[in-house]
Amino acid sequence: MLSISNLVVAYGPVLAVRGLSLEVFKGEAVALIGPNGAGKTSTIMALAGLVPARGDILFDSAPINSLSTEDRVRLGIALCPEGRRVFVGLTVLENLVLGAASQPDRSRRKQDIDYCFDLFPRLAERRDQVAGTLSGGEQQMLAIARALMSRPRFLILDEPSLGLAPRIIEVIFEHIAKLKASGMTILLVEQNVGKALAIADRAYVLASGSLRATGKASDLAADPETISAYLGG
Amino acid sequence: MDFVLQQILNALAFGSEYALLALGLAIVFSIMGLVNFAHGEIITIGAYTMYIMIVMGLGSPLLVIPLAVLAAVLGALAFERVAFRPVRYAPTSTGMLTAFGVSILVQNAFLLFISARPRAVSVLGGLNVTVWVGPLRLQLLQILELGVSLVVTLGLILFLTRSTLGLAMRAAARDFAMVRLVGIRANRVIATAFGISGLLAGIAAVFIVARRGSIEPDMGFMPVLKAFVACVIGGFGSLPGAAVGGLLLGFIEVGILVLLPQQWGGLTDAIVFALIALILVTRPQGLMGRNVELGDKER
Ligand SMILES: Nc1ncnc2c1ncn2[C@@H]1O[C@H](COP(=O)(O)OP(=O)(O)OP(=O)(O)O)[C@@H](O)[C@H]1O
Ligand SMILES: [Mg+2]
Repeated sequence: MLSISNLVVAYGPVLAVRGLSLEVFKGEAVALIGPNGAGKTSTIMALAGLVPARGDILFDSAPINSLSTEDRVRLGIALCPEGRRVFVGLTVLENLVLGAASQPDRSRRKQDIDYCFDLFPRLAERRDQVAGTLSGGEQQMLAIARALMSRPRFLILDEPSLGLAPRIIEVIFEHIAKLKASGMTILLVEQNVGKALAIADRAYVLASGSLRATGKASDLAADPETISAYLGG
Repeated sequence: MDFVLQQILNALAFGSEYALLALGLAIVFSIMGLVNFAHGEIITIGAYTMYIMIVMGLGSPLLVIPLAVLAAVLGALAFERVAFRPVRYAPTSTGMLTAFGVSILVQNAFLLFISARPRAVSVLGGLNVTVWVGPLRLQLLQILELGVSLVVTLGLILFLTRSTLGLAMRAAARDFAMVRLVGIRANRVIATAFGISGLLAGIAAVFIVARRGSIEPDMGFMPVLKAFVACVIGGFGSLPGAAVGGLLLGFIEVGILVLLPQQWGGLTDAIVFALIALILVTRPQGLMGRNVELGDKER
């Protein structure tokens, strides 16, 4: 479904990603793990077209390098970004409505909102609450729900566990597992290595912008040397 | 009593004109971080459209008013498309210099192709009549100005709270990239901001021309300066702030004119700006601005 080859992301003289190649197949959950500053978010932002990048990005075998961020969303790529970035001044419901902005068919919106509220009952209770006043966990749920509103075929999650209490992380990962079980293709960026490897089929380990290891998630999880070498875990 | 009411209406009329203009500046600033100093030239475009139509013999107010407003909207959209889009992601100072450039260019175009001297535009003179409301003697123009501004502001509020595009504009004011990440086109959001600013400036232009009865190439300067001050009072980028700042500026100006002895009339602007400086010393972020907008310059 997604194929990246030789991706390079540079901010002026700073090389954040140095020739990364990565693939995600349909129906798969792939984890992208690595320490702070490894270049995970930069990779994701390049996928979304928000930072300039070199290298080839193919989605459904077609190059998307020259497409705008907005057009990539229309192809079915949804990003739930680092730090959640819910629309703080708007209500939960309004956030979801904007999530569906790329959908030309308005009639399905109601149905999609109901689907999100079924998935996250906490959001249903708070539908008219301003998103800025939600708890961190609720904001994360909203960010995921908002991404789902565009009916994506490929969902990218950047550190969904960031800054959340262990009990809430549990809940969020249960939801991600549910999405995976429903057939969603997922690219999951995480620092919570244990959780990420438990849910993913395969994983890529990134450090200082380069690929350090890749393989089946279960194999990597059973390989303490790789884990401690690159992730300090 | 009569006099006081008359002056209050006076202040409200000036204030709502400033508010319309300030809202236009603020809506563009909130989304692009651009202080569009060429906003005044959008007024000028509206005003010169009236003049050109009259010269062409199409001088009916029913034709002149909507077309002037339309020309202002198209002018604002053209500014965005031609001048501001190429520098959209450049540093703020580049955008500001571009705005000054556009402003100078448009002023000189009118100077060159029409005239450097003021030209009379009297089609809207009919609005400068006095009407009696009960025992009160009021200016029709001022009542209209207040009424239209109220309706337009209400329309803007409805748009920003009820429509998807309006919600997107509010969201974009805080996190533009995220708005693009849900698939809303950046061009559409920005063009809408300029379109709205053009609409508001076009409406203001109608009232400005009705009051002055004439046009000239640099007529947009004072209004845009006032709008800028209104934004600063209210907190730059805040829409409610722009509206309140505009009204407040109207009251400050009229208040000083009324209270100041005649022979001190020339000091009006100086006192207005001194008062505003005082407001900003106590509330540097403006009345309704958010502290975050000051970034690390805070304290
Ligand atoms: N906008 C930017 N300008 C300059 N340098 C940047 C920018 N964004 C990221 N970097 C640098 O690029 C490198 C990779 O950052 P990136 O955010 O991709 O890492 P990450 O793997 O997502 O880290 P984290 O786990 O902390 O989120 C870092 O050295 C960072 O300082
Ligand atoms: Mg990151």
